[in-house]
Amino acid sequence: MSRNDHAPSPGPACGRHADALAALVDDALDPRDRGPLDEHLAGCEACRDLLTDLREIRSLAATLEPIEPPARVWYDVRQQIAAEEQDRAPRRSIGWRHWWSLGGAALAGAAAMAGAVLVIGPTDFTLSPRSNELAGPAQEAVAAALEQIERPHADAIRELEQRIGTDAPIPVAAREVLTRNLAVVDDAIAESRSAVAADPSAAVPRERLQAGLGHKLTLLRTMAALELEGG
Amino acid sequence: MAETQVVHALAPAAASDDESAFEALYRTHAKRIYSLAYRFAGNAGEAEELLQEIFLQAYRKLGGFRREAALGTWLHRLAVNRCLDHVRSRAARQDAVTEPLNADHPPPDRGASGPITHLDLERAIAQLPDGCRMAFVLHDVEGYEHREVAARLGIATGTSKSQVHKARLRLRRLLRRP
Repeated sequence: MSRNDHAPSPGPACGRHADALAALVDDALDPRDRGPLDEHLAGCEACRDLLTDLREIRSLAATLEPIEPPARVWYDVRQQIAAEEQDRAPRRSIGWRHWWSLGGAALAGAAAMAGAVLVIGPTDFTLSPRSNELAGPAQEAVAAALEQIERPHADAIRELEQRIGTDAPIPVAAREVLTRNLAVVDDAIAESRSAVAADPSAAVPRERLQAGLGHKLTLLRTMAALELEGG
Repeated sequence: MAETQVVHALAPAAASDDESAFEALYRTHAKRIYSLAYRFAGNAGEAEELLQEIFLQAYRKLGGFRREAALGTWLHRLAVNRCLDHVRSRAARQDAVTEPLNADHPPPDRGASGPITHLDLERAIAQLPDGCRMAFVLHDVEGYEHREVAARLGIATGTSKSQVHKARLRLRRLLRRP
């Protein structure tokens, strides 16, 4: 079906053979009904157009491409599984078992400690949007919303970043996964902050920012525990 | 990792704590399930939540997975059921405050003339009423037979046929050049 094929627009089908037409599109028309329908189609342009269009819609639908989900969904699934596993085994060490859940298969060969230095950039807790983006009450509303969401996590994240960011003895493979995971978390946090800044009252961006900060805190705590185990 | 390896790694003893195998399962099936969720829900936000819920549900239920069914089939069935529940409960919540979609709604803005694209069709599918959208997605996109669509939706086979036909007619109107 091309948008130009039926200019200015196709007329309505006559409707006299609607059921047979639908069955024909599904390739399920009783052969006994085929003759009368063909006879009708030969003289009814509107029904011929309809048949062509419906067949094209069906064909297009069957060839729709799968849609790639955002990477953050797997990250959220993995975090949730890790949290559930921890709840299920509360006395289990937070070490490699939990780390595996955060890092995945890339850690398979990371048994040897390499003493690599991991440098972690500080989280941006600027509690106000840039001054040229908003002004007056709108800016205050954004700053208040961000402060409300970020305050509970800010101190703990800063403290852990300062502690881990110096000379953390982390395995090389672990460092790679850490860097990747932190980048994903920081991207998600930045994206959520922007969304909150755009609409401070919207619930979903606020929840996502809160969740992102929670994920970051969990990740940093795991790293701190790893540091203790490896140091 | 091949699906058979994933099955062996995951099916016994509720995943046997092997997240790397579960990640392989996710990588193999996430696109198809996200697409299903996106087309059922009609928007990306709800589709993301559904995808997450479906895989968490799968992780918790893997212990009950029986090997006579293919893992992908089991997962897809779980996904369809979850998406159906979501759309139905959403419809129930919205009944009181929103008007039903009808033929008077304006078609999506499709810009200039040219062949109908997959993107046009995706947008138009999102405009369909829930009932015929679900039947259309299951039949014309996912390739289920009408009797399977009917069983999934809890409707008669004839109703599935009429819902899919209704969806195609609406899509034709939505995709038509203004």
